[in-house]
Amino acid sequence: MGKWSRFNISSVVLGFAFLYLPIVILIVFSFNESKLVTVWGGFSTKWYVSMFSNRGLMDAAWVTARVGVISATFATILGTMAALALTRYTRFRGRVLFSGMVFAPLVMPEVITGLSLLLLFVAMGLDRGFLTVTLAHITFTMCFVAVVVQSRLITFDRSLEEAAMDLGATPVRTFFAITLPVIAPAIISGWMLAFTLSLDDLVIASFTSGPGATTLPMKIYSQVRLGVTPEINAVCTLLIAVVAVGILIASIANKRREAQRIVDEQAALRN
Amino acid sequence: MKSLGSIRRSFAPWADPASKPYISFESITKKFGDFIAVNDLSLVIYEREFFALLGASGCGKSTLLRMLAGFDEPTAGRIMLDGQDMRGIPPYRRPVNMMFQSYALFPHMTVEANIAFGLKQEGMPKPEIEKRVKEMLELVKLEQFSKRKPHQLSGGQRQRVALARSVAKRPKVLLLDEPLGALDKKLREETQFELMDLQQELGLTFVVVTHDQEEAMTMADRIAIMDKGKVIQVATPAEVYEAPASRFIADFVGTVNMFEGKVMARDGSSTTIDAGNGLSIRTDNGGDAATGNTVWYAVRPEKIRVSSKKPDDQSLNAAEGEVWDVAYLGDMTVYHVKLDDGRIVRTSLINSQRLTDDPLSWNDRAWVSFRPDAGVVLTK
Amino acid sequence: MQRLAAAVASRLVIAVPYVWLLVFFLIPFVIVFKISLSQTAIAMPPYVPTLGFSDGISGLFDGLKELSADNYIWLTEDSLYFNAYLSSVIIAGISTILTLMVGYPIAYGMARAPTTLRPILLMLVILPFWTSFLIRVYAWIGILKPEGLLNQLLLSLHLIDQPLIIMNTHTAIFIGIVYSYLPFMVLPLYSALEKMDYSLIEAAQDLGCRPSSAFWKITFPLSLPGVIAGCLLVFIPAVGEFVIPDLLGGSQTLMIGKTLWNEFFANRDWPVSSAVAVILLLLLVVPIMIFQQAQARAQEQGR
Repeated sequence: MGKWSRFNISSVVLGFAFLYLPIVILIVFSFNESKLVTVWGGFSTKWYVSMFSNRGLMDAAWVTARVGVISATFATILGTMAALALTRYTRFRGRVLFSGMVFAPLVMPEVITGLSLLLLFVAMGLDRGFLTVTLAHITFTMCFVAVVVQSRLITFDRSLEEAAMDLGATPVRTFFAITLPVIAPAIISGWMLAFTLSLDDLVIASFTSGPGATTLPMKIYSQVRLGVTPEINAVCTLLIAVVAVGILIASIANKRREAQRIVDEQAALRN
Repeated sequence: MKSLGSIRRSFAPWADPASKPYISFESITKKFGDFIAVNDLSLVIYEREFFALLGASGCGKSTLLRMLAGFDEPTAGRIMLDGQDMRGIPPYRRPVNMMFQSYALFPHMTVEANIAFGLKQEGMPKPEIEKRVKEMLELVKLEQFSKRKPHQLSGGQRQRVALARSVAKRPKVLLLDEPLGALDKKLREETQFELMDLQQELGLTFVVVTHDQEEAMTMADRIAIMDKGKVIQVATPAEVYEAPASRFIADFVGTVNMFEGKVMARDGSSTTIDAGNGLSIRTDNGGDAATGNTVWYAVRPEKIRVSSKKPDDQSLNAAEGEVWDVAYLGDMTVYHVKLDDGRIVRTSLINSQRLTDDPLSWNDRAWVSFRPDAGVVLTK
Repeated sequence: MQRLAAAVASRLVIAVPYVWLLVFFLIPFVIVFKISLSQTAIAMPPYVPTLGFSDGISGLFDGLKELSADNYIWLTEDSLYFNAYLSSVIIAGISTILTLMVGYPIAYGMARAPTTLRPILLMLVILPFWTSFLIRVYAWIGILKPEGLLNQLLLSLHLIDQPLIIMNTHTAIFIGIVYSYLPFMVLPLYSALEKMDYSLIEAAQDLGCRPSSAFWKITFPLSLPGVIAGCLLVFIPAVGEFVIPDLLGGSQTLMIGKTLWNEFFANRDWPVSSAVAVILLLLLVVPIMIFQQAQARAQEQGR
């Protein structure tokens, strides 16, 4: 494309500064000596220590992690199936309704989703707790997975599948050997998106969760109204650090593999 | 060792009444909704033939290929392969392999894995697969790239991987969908000969779909020219070029000068055609045209001589005009001569000498002439 | 045999998510509607009638007869609800426009960045998603409150004499919504702008068009699908937003998400909250359908 003008660069830089400012403040004040989130009292890591002995916080974090992993996994499976259904099968009964149901949660206000799911659980006689909040999260995150996987499937080159079948692979084997691996990155991003949304959700969890299954956002919210200590900052900073480290490891592993391949090739050439 | 050309010259199963067709399309029709892609088409292909389906986009050649591969079922008619009816047989059970136009290399697999894929599907034991893959890599000269992924290869390298993958299973029939389309000119020429060598070496039947007539003429034993879902002519390259069956083919393959006229007289083997405005053409290749019929006389540019003086030989057909355009192409020169009645005749001259004896330039008066056997008479 | 496996697989792939969504998405709406027609009660569940087959078919019909539209009438009588709906739509609308104004330059800058930089920029836009939304909104409290960081900065630079009161005003909500929903606006915009062929702009300039009018005549119209998608992705959820008005808006600001929450958790009035939800849904039906249409069209184009 054309030149990257000064206006463009500055809008991107300013934009990202705006986006990241609260996060930076968050991280900085997690090391705050004093309890306040706006007055710097000196450097201290004591909140990281006390965070681990805060039972309520740790329990909530554990619940959130479990709900996140389980719901993200099921949401990914269901969302991928929905995406496949929508892109591969252009005519089936009730397709319009199906399509509507898959994409509506993308924009539905969370209070409506939360309320309706709660009323369903009550009508079904289900006690609110771990199961109900997980079911709720699966339902509202699967549509995000569907969108991500669907946009990948639309650009997927069908001739790859034809080539596989031409070489002797049955349709089922073609799906698992060719289609799935090629769209795997989209499925993985779908999982990560579903996990993040579950991790972050307050409203739906408040409606659909119950005693013993308090999620981290619910815990944080209850404390935010009262006044929060930088322990919360410490928890969030840790979360960011885990994610950042994860990405770093993934990209290092990738670079190593590439370097190894080049070395192998050079060796082969010399022989 | 015999040269490729000598082997090919003696290969002509279509002329032998005793030879049985290997592939046969019997009254094949394919409709997509209301659109008729292939219209009651019948065609036979013999074993070990290098067969080309030639036509413009939309003529149905790719559809025909896909039906042979098994990706589409014909709406009517049947396809026979080695005596077996292919109806209902899915692509993964046909003894046919295809090389795709886009190569369709599996992006998440290495070159090795791509080539080995088909072999794995048929349950070949691992050591044998390794051996065969090595063979294929040597065949296409890509041994050191075996561990690369498709996105790390150049266009030409990807094409060779696609080729290796499609012949790895040693199929009886190999289908190639516009195999050279994505390559640049030089590479295309080299690859054409490589493909021909490969076909002879492996003893396979090749069916190539192309819109490039030069490609078809270079590589194929026989060419089927298609238009709007039908086969117009099936013949060897020489026959197609020198004896086209219709104006469409004469015009489609190579360039041609077309003179429309009426048959004035038939005298033994010689036919006289009145091509209008005083131009009278005498030809030995009159065919079946009866006196009074409207016919078209097609003569190729290289069969026409151009000179500044009227030729002495009275048996030649000749006409006078003015040099309208000259295009110097290095190995040959193309002259467009505008006859006095306004018609433009295209002639080409091989530059067999560095300095020509008879230099012609724009607006010079010139004579075009050709022998009675130079062209053909077409009735359709 | 293979065909049977393929046929079963294709039926499953459609049926499983379909049934899930029918049970967990569609049916709940029916239930919400039914509850909106019920009365509140001191019971578990806190409404009557509870429809069921425990009293037989006649019992079911008796229950149905008890349903009434009283709650809806009550909603129309109390101007609080009407004002809440109205202010929600207005606040969401203004926030959407602000988000567009902030997000467009960012998306445009990203789309014109060197190609090697783009995946990194994309990553940076998505990264904030992985930090808690709640905490990021909470961080803004620390920035915007009278003793907060913004006022500290402005006071120390002598740009103002008195601390600005931003917390607990509509402005704080605007900032909160723009901040939280920015990625939802930037991503579809970036996607649309990235696909645009820059040579169109060059052609326009070659024909004598000034850069600013080239933008309005060519770039903006071509990016319109992204603009619409981004605006809908912000507006619709923003109308029903709860967390931001609750933390940043205070008691002065009225938004329907908060109203619904209070009805449910504070007043324990399930039937009224259901009625509020139903009306909110009806309000949003038209934008939601526009969104669905845009999605379907994008699907077709991609094919």
